[in-house]
Amino acid sequence: MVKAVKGTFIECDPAAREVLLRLNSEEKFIIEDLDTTHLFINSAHLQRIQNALDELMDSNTYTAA
Amino acid sequence: MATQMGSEEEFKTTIAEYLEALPTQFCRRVFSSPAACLAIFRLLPTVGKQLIMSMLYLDAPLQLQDVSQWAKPEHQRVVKAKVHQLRKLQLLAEDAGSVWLNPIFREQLRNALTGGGDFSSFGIPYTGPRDARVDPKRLAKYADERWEAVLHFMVGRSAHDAVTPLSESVRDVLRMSRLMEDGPMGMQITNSGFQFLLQNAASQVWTVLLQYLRLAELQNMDVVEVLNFLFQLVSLQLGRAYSVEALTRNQRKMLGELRDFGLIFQDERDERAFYATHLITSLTSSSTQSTERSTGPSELTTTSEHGYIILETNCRIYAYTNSPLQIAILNLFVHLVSRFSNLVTGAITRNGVRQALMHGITADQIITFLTANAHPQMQSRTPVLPVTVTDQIRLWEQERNRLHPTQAHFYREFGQRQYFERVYRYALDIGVVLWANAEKQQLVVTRQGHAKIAELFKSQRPTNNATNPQPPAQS
Repeated sequence: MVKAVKGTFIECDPAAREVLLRLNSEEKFIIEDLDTTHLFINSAHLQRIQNALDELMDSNTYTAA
Repeated sequence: MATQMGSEEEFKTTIAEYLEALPTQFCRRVFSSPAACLAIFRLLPTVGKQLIMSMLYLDAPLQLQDVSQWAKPEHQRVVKAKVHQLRKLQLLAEDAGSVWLNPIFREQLRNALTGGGDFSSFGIPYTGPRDARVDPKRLAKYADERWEAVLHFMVGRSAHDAVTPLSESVRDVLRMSRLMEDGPMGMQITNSGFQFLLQNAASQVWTVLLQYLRLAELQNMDVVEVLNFLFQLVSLQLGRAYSVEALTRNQRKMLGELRDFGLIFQDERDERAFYATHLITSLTSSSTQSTERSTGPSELTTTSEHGYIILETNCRIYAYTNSPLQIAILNLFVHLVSRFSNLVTGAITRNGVRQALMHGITADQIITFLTANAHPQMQSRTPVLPVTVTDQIRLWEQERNRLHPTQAHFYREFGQRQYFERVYRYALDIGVVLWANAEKQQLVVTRQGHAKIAELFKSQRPTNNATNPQPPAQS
């Protein structure tokens, strides 16, 4: 019997995917790792991981002031 | 509301939808006003206009083949498509291979062009004692004041110049168009509201007019009345006094509401006359010019709206303006640093642009706004804005969109290979496949796709064949 899972399909670049995999090791949200640029995750965590990615981009930014 | 909202295009398509959906009775009433016919004619695309013009003074029906003969062979498809479109708008009638113009429309359009018939639909000029104080300058000042008050209210800077609180009707329109919503501390601006602020004035006015159309629907007002009134407004002349005699009660009510927006001026002491301001009259004049010049200088620009922004390659901004409204709008995405008597300076920073992006403004809107309001010295260069800055703004937007999420369903453990093939082929046909892997026999489809696939297999259940697949189990 086929299993159908409801969730969110994510397309991203390999670097972001690696970040998501590392986040996953702390709190599982990835349902399936599809390939180098796609993931399938649990929808409830979408906002959280977007925030986490945002923070990461922020911390890697240099501001002159 | 990601697309250019409130622009002329949207107004045209909405009017088109309206007319298509109107029952014949209503259409007859709309077409019985010459102003409405003229306004509708102006809103048509060029080929449509050509067709109507050619048929305007022909009383007898034409053969469809003759109509197709008017175009070169390779463009006949276009002509047929236009004929079909005009039929949907109830402007053309077709029967057994011959077409003719809707007689009422034809009659009234002729009247509109030659000035015959009942021209009260164009607005009856007021013949009472003219108030000498009402001249174009005062009208312009009034219109600008009221329009800026509305925009001020949206941006939230009501501390400046004792701004009279906006009337209930204006707030209703803002609420209805989802430009603002009710929050814990009074009304707050929404994402679409931010986008609205960055548009040029013509698009903003179109949006407001569009809202009246929608409001009329909701309040079960007579749609025909509202439409006729809108068409009349759009053809008024600047500076002339018009009488309210011919207007119905609802139309007078609309007049009062539009006055609060600064589109109409009505002297409180003498309510029998009203004047159209430049905000409304420039709508048709800019629409008869080329359609997509909304970012270029239009007749709508008063001296305060003339280009005033200078943007350097190092992201520094110098805005030669004094108006609190424009400064407030700039503050949405620029990090303002200092203010002088005629100048405001600042820089486009990552933080500033990110704030704007988080409010729902897109990079394209910021760039369009800067281009439209660029100082004349900047406008003489190509491209108008430095490429470094525009690219950087787009990069900051992409930075926020590293992930592209889509709500979807994931299928696995198909069991039989042919079962997987069937589902995959069907999903491909209806175009809902997001990702598939034939070796691992896994498939990702969109939410809507899942509903359709489940339906397909539910409908096959009654046959209950052993080789028939069961619908996928939910988990």
